[in-house]
Amino acid sequence: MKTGITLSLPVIGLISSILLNSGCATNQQQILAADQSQVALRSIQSRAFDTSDKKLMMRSVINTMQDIDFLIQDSSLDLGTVTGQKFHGNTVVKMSVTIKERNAQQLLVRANVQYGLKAIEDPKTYQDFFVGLEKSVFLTAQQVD
Amino acid sequence: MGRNSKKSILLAGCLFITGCMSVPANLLVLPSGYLASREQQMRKFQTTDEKQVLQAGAGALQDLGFTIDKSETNLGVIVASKNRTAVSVSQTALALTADIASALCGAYGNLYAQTDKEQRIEASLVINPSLSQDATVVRVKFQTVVWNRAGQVSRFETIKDPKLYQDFFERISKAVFLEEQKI
Repeated sequence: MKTGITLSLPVIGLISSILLNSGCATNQQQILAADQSQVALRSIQSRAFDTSDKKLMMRSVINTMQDIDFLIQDSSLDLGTVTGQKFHGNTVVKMSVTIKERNAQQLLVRANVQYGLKAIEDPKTYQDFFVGLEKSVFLTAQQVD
Repeated sequence: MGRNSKKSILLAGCLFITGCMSVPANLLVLPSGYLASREQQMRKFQTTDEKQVLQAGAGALQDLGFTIDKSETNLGVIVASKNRTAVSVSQTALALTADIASALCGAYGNLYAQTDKEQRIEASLVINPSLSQDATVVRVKFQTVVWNRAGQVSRFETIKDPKLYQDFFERISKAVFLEEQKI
């Protein structure tokens, strides 16, 4: 009886650790969507700026990403995308920003960031980025619904 | 409780900790010295010919041994890099001595795996119009990523040596026949 308990405890420990370690969401959830609702996430990651100068805005995004130590990896004026990455210890932080016309007078900037294997969904992190971008373009970032 | 079960509980604890890592705050906060960094990384050239300046920038990067990875002419962006060794004889010797010493004491040490092996120096260049619209501002940022022998990133930093930046801007200046000006 005693040997039965000592043998089963390691097995239980191992199984529970595997279950706990298997992640915060199922694989299907990971592939298809974010943990938060997509509408809420879009709102956290996006800001509108009162300018129609896409080129200047893209250059400002690159400058801001450089200011916060991202290595610029790729950019395209036609698509309106900038991609970069940096390292936080041994963890890779990846960031992509898209810039598109919202209407005739406004541009919509959306950023998304990945920290290691985790998508960042914390509003404060994105707010910090837009505060930096505001300083670079001398324009106010407006919250969009 | 047997030794095996204690070990397994410890193992389970370790695995659980690594399961969901938390994201550090201030990941995208603008550092306080960003304006000083911009000053070092930017120079103004009295021309509106962005293409000419961009070509000169690509040439200057090649002079310094960089290979061009990506370029976007419409935006005025060049991304270049070079891979070099990061092996330091003194660091390696120290690690090997420590490993041998721990082996002699009957312990296992692998400090050698933590020694630097390879580095990648990255340059990202972007053209900006000056505020007065009559000049072109070049910004270049040099950063280095160092990997150890275990394949982990051991260091990631911005190169701040003023000589490197000065040398780079002087090369552009010579190519476009224009004096570079500080911002």
